[in-house]
Amino acid sequence: MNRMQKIAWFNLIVVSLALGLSVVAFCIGYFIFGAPARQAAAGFGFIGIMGFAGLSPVLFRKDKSKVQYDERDTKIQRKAVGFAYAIFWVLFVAAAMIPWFIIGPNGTITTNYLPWMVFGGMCVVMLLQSIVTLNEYGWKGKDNE
Amino acid sequence: MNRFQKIAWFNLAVITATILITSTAIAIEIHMRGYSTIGPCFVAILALLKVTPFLFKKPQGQGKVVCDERDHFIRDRAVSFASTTFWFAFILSCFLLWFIVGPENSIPTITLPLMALGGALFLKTVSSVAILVQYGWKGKDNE
Repeated sequence: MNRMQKIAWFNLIVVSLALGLSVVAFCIGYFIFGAPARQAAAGFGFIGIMGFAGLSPVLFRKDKSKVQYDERDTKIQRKAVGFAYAIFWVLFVAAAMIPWFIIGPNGTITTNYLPWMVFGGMCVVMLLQSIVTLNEYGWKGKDNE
Repeated sequence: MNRFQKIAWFNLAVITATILITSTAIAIEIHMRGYSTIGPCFVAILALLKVTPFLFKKPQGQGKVVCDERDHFIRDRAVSFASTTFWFAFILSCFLLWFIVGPENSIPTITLPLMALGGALFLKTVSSVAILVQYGWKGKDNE
């Protein structure tokens, strides 16, 4: 398994964990403790776990004695980033247009919606980028380094 | 000047013209009537951005090269740079608005489609500028 695969696996686990724990915490607060949705949304604080994804360059350091990148790696990375951003763009436009259609052009929306758009976008980009990277290289190690 | 440079120049010209004409129309309308309804319609000029494949057709016929590895590389780099800068601008604009207006307050829903439109214009402008910077702003027989 090469460095990019390891980073992709790490990001996938971190993002899935952050999203999973957030949803579970929200459901426990809302359904079991009967808290209002606004209070139960505090469970989404687990999204902060995603910050660990920033540690991947430190955890998976470049081995200076080996060749790090060739044209194939660059192409795979470009494809993963391109696909992730293409899907993000569609979702971003949907997230911008749907409230406008539902609430109406003269309505208002809470400013908390804006950071949610950012976190949602980050989740989508990181998840898709990791999935496409792993799909291109293969999900397991195949000595394709 | 090659096809990509011409498209980049055309995109920049259309975006600049749209911003100038729309803001002037809105300003004049507000000055005359106190509100603006017709001015924002000038945003429709942006539809010209979709005409580029017809205006700048790919060279056809034997012996005509459409693009090579260098062109692909320049275009990929421009798109990648535009996506990265867009991401920073998106995060900054969302959080700045959130800090300025306050988490307990609301914003008009029209802000969201305007953000999407602004984001699209930002991406197009940055990628066009990145293409022109990499090729050079003028024609250098780099086709």
